[in-house]
Amino acid sequence: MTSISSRRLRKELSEIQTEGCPTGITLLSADNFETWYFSIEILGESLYQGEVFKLMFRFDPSYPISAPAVQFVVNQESTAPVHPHVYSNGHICASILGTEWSPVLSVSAVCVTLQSMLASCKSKERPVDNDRYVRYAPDNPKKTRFHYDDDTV
Amino acid sequence: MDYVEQPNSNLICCICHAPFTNPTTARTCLHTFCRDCITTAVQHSPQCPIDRSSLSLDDLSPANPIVKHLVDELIIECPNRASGCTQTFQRQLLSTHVKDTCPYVEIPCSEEQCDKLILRKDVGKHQDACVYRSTQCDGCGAIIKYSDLSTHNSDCPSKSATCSFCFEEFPRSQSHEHAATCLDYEIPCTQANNGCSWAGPRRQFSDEHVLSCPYEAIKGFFSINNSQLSLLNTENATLRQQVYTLESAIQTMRRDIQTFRNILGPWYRSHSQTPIDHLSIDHLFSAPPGPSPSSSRTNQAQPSSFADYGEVTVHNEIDALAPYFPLTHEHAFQESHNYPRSRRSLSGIVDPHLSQRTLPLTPVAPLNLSTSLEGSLGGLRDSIVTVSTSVDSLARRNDIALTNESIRLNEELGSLKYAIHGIRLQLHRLMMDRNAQVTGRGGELPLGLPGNQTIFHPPISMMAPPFPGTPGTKL
Repeated sequence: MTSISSRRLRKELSEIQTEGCPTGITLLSADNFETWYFSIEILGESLYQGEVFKLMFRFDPSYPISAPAVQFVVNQESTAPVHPHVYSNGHICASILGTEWSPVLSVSAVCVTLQSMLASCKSKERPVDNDRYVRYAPDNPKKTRFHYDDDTV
Repeated sequence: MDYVEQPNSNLICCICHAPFTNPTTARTCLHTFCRDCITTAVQHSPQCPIDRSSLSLDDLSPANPIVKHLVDELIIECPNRASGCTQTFQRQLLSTHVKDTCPYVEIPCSEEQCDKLILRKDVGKHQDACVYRSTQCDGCGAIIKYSDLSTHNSDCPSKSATCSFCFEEFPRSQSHEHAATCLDYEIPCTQANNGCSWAGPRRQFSDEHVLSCPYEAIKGFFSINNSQLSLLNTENATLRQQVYTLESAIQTMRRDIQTFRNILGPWYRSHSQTPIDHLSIDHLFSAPPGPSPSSSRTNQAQPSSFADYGEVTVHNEIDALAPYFPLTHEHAFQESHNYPRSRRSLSGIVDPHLSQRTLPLTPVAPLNLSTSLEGSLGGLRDSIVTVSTSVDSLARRNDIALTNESIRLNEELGSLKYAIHGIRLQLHRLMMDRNAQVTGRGGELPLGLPGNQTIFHPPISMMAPPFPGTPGTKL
């Protein structure tokens, strides 16, 4: 399994390096096949104009059969976008990162999906249960069982 | 695997992002993946990774052969490119290339003892240098390992050798013949076996030493002596063998005797004691002693005789055992005879059944100590059975006699009671008459009341005087 995951990631990395990332997305670092960092910004008309966020991908040996753990980085330099599906600790409630993950998806596909999720946002607000979730949230968002109820965004 | 050209994107598995390996198609949605990729994905989540339609392992089948051929014929670079192999070939030929032709694969040396791994391109070079390679001796032509060549050279029969005494050179195969003839060769004296310590060149031996050697002079004596010695040695060996056999036989016998002694226990007697035992037994049975001394002797002798058998004197021990059998019976017999006799004298009334009863007396054979242990034990066991039967029947007889006796006594007691009562009535009557005569008031006192009282309460009249006022009622 480990070799499949690293072979696949090596390919994805070489594609990103040769063909470049989708617009608005930049590879910050990919030193190993466990944790990658991207920066993401929304181009064009949106509520997040001018804001730049930092995404963290964590891969386990069963990638791409199981989803990577994806979250926004929250520290002194960067924050999580204010969005109904993004918790203040950076965790993202998106079905493609949980039950709807498919091995066909790739790192850049996930980035593009998140980009469009932010772009289509109509009001900047936190999820309703943000405080309760953040207090008890595990470190790895994959350990949370999200309930996906909103498919308009 | 590195492909020489970028493969057609239709041949890429969307799970591993590489050209298909064992392409496998889902029968339901017709999507194609590598076999390993789709199997793992379906086991994780039973749906097609592309369109999410439900999918199970049973829906998977090998892809169209065209797909397989397309990916098999993709040109790849040798995986040993980093080592230096620049060849490119179809993907399906990879295993053949690595196994048979790739010069940059490490293979083991063909010599069995050599455990080195050599790149295939260097095999020829190694075969000329391998220390385990076979090589031919230039002298004798034998095929030997290169590593053994130096040892072989020092004793190859075809190589020349030099005599260390006369320095003559000859082929090594003839070294034995030379040693037998070389006049400078150092040999020991022919009498070295008999003690001559001389050793020197062969030419000196025949010329000088034979004439002066003291052992050589008495050569004849040595030969006679040696033959005699060997004869004695042979005889000695035979005798030693016999002694050994005898010793082992004695050992076996000793063991057997010890075993028998253990089995026999107190029944074991040494030869010297036997006659005394027989005497004592005869004495015992011919004149039976009284029960009291024999039983006291038994008590003394018994514990010691059973505590440490083997050392105990047999005399005591037989004394201890013998009285049990004949004497007990005699004793019981006497007792049972005495019993009715004493009863008879006491009661004075003879029970006809008791007197007529004949006591069955089973004679017990005296203990035969001359038989085997088993025989003696059998005799003892029989005696015990007889004794127990006798005791049993005696007890039963006693019971019956006792019951009969008590019934009879009760009857007798009843009749006596009646007789006494009659006598007492008569006496009372006489006393009343006498009272009447003495007092002269016989007419005034009617006989009825006091007379009735005495009749109705005889015990009271007996125990306490019914007429306290009348001194004449004393009995």
